[in-house]
Amino acid sequence: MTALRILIARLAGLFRRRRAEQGFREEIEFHIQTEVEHQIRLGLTDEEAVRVARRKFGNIEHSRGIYRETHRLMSIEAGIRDLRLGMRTLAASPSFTIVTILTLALGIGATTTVFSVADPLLTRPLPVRDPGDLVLFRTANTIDPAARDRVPQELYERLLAESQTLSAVMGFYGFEPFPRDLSVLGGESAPVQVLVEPVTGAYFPFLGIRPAFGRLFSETDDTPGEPLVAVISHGLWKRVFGGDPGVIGTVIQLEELVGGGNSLPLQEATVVGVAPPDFHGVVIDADPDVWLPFETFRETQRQTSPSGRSYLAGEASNTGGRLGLRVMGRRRRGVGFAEIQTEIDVFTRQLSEETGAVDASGNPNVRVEPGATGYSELRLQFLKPLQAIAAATALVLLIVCANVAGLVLMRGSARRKEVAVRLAIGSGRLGVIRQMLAEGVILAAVGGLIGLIIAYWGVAAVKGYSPSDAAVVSRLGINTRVLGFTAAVSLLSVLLCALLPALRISKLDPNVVLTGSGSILSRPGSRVTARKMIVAAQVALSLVLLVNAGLFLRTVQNLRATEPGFDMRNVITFSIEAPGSTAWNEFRTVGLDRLESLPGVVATSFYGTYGFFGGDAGRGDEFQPRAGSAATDPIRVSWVMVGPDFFETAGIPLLSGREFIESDLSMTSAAVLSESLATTLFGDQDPVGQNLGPQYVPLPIVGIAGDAKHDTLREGGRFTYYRAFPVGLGRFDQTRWILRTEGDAARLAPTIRSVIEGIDSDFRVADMYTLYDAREASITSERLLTWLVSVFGFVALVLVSIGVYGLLAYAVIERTGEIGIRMALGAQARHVVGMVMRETTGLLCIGGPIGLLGAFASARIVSGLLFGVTPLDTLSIAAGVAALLVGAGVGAWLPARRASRIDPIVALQHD
Amino acid sequence: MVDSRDVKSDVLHGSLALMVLQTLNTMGPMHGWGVARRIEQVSRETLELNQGTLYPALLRMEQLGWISTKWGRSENNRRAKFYSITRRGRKQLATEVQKWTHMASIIERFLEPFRS
Repeated sequence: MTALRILIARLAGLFRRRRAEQGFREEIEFHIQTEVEHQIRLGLTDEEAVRVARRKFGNIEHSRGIYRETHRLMSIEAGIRDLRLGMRTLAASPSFTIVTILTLALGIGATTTVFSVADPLLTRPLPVRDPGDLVLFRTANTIDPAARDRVPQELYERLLAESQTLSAVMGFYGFEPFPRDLSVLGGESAPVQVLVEPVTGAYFPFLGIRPAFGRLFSETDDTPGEPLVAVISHGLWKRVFGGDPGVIGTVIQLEELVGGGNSLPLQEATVVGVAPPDFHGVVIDADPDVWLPFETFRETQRQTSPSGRSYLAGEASNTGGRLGLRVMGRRRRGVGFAEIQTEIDVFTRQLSEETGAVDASGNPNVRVEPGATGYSELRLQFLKPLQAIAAATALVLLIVCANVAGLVLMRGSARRKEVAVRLAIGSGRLGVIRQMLAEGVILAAVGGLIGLIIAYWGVAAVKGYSPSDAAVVSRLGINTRVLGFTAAVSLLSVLLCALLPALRISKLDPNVVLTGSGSILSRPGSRVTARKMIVAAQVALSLVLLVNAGLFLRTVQNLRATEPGFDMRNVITFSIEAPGSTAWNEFRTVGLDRLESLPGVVATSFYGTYGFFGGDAGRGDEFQPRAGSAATDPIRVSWVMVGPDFFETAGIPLLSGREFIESDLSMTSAAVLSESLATTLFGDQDPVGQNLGPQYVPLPIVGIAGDAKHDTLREGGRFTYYRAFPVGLGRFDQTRWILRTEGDAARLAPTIRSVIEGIDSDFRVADMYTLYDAREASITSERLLTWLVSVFGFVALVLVSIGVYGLLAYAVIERTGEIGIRMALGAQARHVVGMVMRETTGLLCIGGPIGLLGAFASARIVSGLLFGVTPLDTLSIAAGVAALLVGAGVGAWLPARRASRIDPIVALQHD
Repeated sequence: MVDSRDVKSDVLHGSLALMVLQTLNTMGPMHGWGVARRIEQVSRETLELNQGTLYPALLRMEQLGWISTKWGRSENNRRAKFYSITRRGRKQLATEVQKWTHMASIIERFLEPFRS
């Protein structure tokens, strides 16, 4: 304990070195002065007094040197000496060193990977003033899940005016900013697609951020009648305006992308400022490029739209009621969430009594939550799996430390004599601890570095696998927060894995060790029992991970086995980047003809980028079932705009009616329904020849196609209508081209490129994939989870092997004498092997059942992500148990073999 | 170098802590010079205390939690560091005293034959 206390004091001393030096100087000066005065009082002259005082004090420099040595943990030279000796001793036992470093690297690498993925998504605060005070509001919306978390504008206004618990409130429109075409008034360049976010005037003052350039708008700009201003993101400023400060005052034109066929007039806004580089809005999934003041924007829309209405916030015809705003608040100091909730409840009750506003939106309950990390759909979607994985990783790290501590202990017991000699010849216990610590630092530093490399690779893999193109995912990487985390984890593992065994070993009594007075038959003591429990816990955890890995593997297998309803391998699709070109329709006729004449190409067509593969599954229309049809609730229907011959090209069977033909490609258009949609809407009637509507425009139904699972391979996504592509709306950046070939379509990729670039040398083929790739992309989240859980399962399995190895190898060393006697008395090598191997049965009997229980519990948590398997899947469980047995067997076999080779004579002399 | 007109003895290894603790225990908080002066006085100027070694020893005792320090004003109104004994220090003092008297009595018994 004494050594530990000094160690702590000296560790603390590392941080106060300069002050301590100065204190020492001051103290010495005081001492000598006082002594001089004392001597003068005794009758000496000034000079004599100084001489005597100096002599009595002795060599000041020498004293200062000792003082420093005492104050510091170690001198630099001693530190270097320790590290050198550490490297030498580590190099002397390479197998220990390599296993320990790899164990640490695995643990640190896995933890760092998970941290760098989970932190931006779950824990990193928004880059705004006092993020800890932020509050967000949640609502459910049963009619339209996409309208979740919106509160009525009346509630926002009441909070703004009357709230006692919130010091400030702001509102913004969407979770998904509107995609718009942006062009510069009077500019030459082609329009670029940007994401627009309407926010209330309180937004920027509320967040308390500083503009990178210009100013941010406030309440005065957000008043109907004011000119429309815009704040642009730092990224857009760099990308489109080349970082030109002259952007302030530029007028930008915003045009809605042609989506559902209804086009809105242009809106003009003046750029007043640029947001700071690290600010990407309060919804971390998408990065807005342009922020507009909500009220002014809405007023401009009312003035410019033919209907005189704005489609923002409940005024558009098809929103199914009032939608309102997403709102964030700032908590007053000392106010709790319960008080805010109470106030909100009072407000919503009053509002619903006064205006019915709250009930009309179908979401009367507004829930208050901490908002430091902002809104994220992705977080909601992945919270549970991510938390599960983070918890699993934390356990993996604990196991790593336990394992490394075990390895160090094992080595320590092999080194007892060395340490005892060092203690006996007068090396201080502190010196021995320092030596151990130096070895720990080397191990953890190397392990941490390799871990960082693993994490770098791991994050890249996660990004590659990512099911989402959300902005937050594209920003994943190794940053300072991650580096800090890695350093902390490495430091922690040094302390855990070096200090504890070091303290224990430094308590060795040289007399006992060197005279061999320990018993030859020393039985593994309570320490071993504790370590057994740790290894049993590892067994349990790895079984949890292995069984889950099995479940996810089966899920992916089942999803792949699902019939998607279209041809996968022989169909390829791509888009064309044609900067500035408007010759879309020319290409459509000429280009598709050329592609179709290629050898091996069977059919060609095109489709709008919304809806089909990579489109948004949530984007769609709501259909009221017709009288007499089976369904009663409104159904959500996705739609795709496609060209002639699409069904033949994609390999979707036509059940009745016909394909689209050239004459359908007008604004009046025509529709083909998916089989499920046809049956649900029309029941027994034949829909062909009938009219689909009446929501927008009359759409004559010309055919019925088989269900194609292009949204998701799971249930649902069956309700689709295809609409003939109105060629007048055709644009290169909003269409994709699709080819059906004989044999694997991927082989045709180079030919397709050269054809397209041959038509116009400025054209580039982009984003090319087969429908097989598209299907794989649609199950990335399942594949990502499978991959992560399998990797972790494997890591845990390796750790179990190492844990079992460490435990048994230690036990074998402890029992060398006993085993020697047994062998001297005639025990066969295989008996000894069996005896050591049997030590694992206890571990498996305790860890196994606990692991199985954990596996059921965790599989139930993630059951929403499973497909076609139950949490009690026998095959997954059997495979997990088998893998575990193999892992434990491998770990046990090495020490068992070593035990069987013990030479009785050497063993009995040894102790 | 050492001016050794008188017969002075070096401070015995391990006894400095005992003397410091005892001094602080009886005299209350003191600065470093005061402790050194007190040790000189008690030994009636017969102990050759290399005053420079006192300070590292004080630091070490502070690290062990036996004494605590505080900056204050000396009697001649200068800034000085004052040392005082802690509870743990008193406990340590008790064991040291016990050990020391035990050792002293053994030595005493060894020396008895020469005395008579």
